[in-house]
Amino acid sequence: MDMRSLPSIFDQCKPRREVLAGELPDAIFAADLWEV
Amino acid sequence: MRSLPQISGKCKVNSQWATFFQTLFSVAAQRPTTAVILTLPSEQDANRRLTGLLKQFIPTVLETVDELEKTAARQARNLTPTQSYERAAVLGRRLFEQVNASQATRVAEMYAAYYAEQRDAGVQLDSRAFEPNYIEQIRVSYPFHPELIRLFAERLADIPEFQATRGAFRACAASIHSPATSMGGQLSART
Repeated sequence: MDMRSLPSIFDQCKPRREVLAGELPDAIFAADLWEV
Repeated sequence: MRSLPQISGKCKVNSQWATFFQTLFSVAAQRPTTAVILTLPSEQDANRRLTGLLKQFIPTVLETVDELEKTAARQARNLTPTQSYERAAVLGRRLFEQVNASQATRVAEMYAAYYAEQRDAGVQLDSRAFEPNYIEQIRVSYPFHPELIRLFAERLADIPEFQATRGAFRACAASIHSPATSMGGQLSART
C-alpha cells in the first residue's frame, strides 16, 4: 500500500489567510457576539 | 471573568458572585426572549485552575436557578458545546477556508488497508485501528487523522500550560505555515 499516492492536504484544503501568514492573534479565539 | 486570576478566598468579588448571579437570573427570568449562558472552560488543560475556582460557585448558582425555575417555569439546560467527535471539524474550520472532502472515503479505506497490511506483516498496532468504526472516524476527521486529534485532546492536554483547543490550533497552524513558507509562495498562488 503506497500511502504516497494519497492527495496532499495542500491539494485538498485551502488554508485561511491568517494561518498562511503565521498571524494568530488571541483575538481570533474570542467569541464574536455582536451578531447574537 | 478576566479579573478572576486576582481572586482570593477573602476577595470581595468572591462574596458577590451569588448576588450577582441571582440578580442576573432574576432579570433574565422576567424577559421571555433573554437567556443567560454560563460557560466553563475545560478542566483538562491550562484552564483547570480557573474552572476549579468558578465551580466553587456553581452549587449556589444552581440553587438560584432552581428557585427561579419554580417561579418562572423556565428550564436550565447543560450543554457541551463541542463534543469529542466534533473537534476535527472545529479545527478544520479554524485552519482552512475550504476543505475538499471528496477524497476522505478513499483516504480512510487506504488507511484501513495499510493497517491490515502492517498487521499481516507482524507489526504491532493499537487495537483501536481495527475497531469497526475506525474507518468512519478517519473519514469524518478528514483532513486530520483521528490519532492527531486524540493526541491534542487527551495526551497533550495533560501538560499544565497546554490549552487544548488553542494549543491544537497553534500547533497545526504552525505546521501549515512552515511548509507554505518553504514553498516560496506557491501555495498562496495555487490557493
